[in-house]
Amino acid sequence: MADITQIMRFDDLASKDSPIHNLEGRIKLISTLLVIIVCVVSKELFIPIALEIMLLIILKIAKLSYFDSFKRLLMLLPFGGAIIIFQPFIQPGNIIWSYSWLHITDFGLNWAILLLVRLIVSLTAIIIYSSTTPLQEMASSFRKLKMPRDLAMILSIMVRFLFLFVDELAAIRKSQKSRNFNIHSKKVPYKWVVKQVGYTIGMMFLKAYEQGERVHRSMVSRGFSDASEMFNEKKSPAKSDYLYIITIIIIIIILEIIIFKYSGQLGYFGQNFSIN
Amino acid sequence: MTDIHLETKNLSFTYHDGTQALKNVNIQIKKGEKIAIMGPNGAGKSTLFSHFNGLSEPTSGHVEIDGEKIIFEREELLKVRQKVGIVFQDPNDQLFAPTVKDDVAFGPMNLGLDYDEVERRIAESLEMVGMSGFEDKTPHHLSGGQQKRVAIAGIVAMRPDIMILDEPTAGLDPEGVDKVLDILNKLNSEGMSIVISSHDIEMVNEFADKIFVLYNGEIIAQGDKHQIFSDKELLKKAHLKAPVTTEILYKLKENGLNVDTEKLSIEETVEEILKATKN
Repeated sequence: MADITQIMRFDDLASKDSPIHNLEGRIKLISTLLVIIVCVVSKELFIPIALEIMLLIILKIAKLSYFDSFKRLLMLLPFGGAIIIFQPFIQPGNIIWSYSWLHITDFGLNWAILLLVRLIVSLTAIIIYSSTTPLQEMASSFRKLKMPRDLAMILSIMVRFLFLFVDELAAIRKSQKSRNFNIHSKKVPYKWVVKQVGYTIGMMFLKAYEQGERVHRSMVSRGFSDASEMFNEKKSPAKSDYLYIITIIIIIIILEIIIFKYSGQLGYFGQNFSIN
Repeated sequence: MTDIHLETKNLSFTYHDGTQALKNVNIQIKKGEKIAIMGPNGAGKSTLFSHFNGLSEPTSGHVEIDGEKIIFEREELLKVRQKVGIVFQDPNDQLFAPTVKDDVAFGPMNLGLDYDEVERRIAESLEMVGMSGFEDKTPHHLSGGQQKRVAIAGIVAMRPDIMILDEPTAGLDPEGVDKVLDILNKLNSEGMSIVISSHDIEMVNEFADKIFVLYNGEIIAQGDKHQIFSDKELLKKAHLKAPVTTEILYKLKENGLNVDTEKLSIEETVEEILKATKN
């Protein structure tokens, strides 16, 4: 069942042990962004496809299941996919297929393929990042990368209390269930059921508000003010972290050199498909 | 320099809705004392505590720390909050950082200490509460007792003179209670004054030197545990119960045995019974 409690499983997955899991959070964040940026600015298919192969190898090293990662990719794909699907029909170019008023152009099709490949690579990179990095480490990576204090604090408090609220919600639902409450029950009027769900949501808002007030009091009681600084543990990246990011940078440079010098020999994969 | 650490003078507090939560509260806490504030639910214990480090401003009267009135200005409050640390009842209200280490660091960081000192205090206070090795754990994944100890470490790291704990043993298993009491006794032996609130008579009996009974926002009695626990009328009025040992001694006395009902510890009680039965 897909519900909010899934987020717990998600974080369990991210807390496993593998060479990729053990990398420093910042390194993973930077390399994810690096891969995404390089892939988004490349105009040929060659680089994104080569990066995807690299990511699939990283996926293997991280001991993640290809099947589960693929399922998550499919779940995320529609968000960008919706824009891509229209491209072959709306871009100008040589018509390669037509049916009454509907045309597919070669430029449009190639552009759509490029976009799709870019999207898949970016999503793969994000899936690897999110399944190897616990939420709290993500928050602290952003903090260490000099995110403004207030934003960083909101993020880390959100991560901390998200779990508490998942627990609270699970407890409320359990207690409702133990009194035979069921959303799909035919024995009670639908309106009544909706009302109960409304109460639950309202209760969660109230609890969130009150929890926030209490946390703020306890923070003030420990001397918090707008001049306070947050504690960022000074931990410098290890050798393996540098090795990881340098390898990725070298691979990217080699790919760029190949595309710069030999794009003519790469055939279809070396062609410029960008429309702008 | 007086040896009175914290004193409230005619402290009264009224909520916005007109509820009078505290009425003319006068208490004195001396250096190195172990104090318990007892009273039924809604007596005003938590409200009273929130005045001790300036979280709430009294409607009338005032609070003095080391003979100085709390002034409600930022710099002054920072000093007060370093001296008077409060451990809240629900650790979830206090542990907000993503890791144990970040949370313990929070107080010292607010004091503007440098990183090395903060690191030192984290190590020292986690060691003190027996939670070394949990630095990178998420508070959410700890047990209730462990969360409580981390919350205490977060206050210890600020090195306060007085530690205030709201229901420190509520919801803990017996072992958890013992661990928390050990920590508090250790801190006290190093000179820290400890103030707790509780309904747990047996725990207070074991722990406190001095007891204040708060009822309906008023201090209706104060004294050592012998005075408080032997006063049956008082306990009844404050919705409290005497320790089992006291109950037993009272029953024995009713049945004609000549025992001293002011004895409290198990050893003293056994001795008293043996003495009375030998005669």
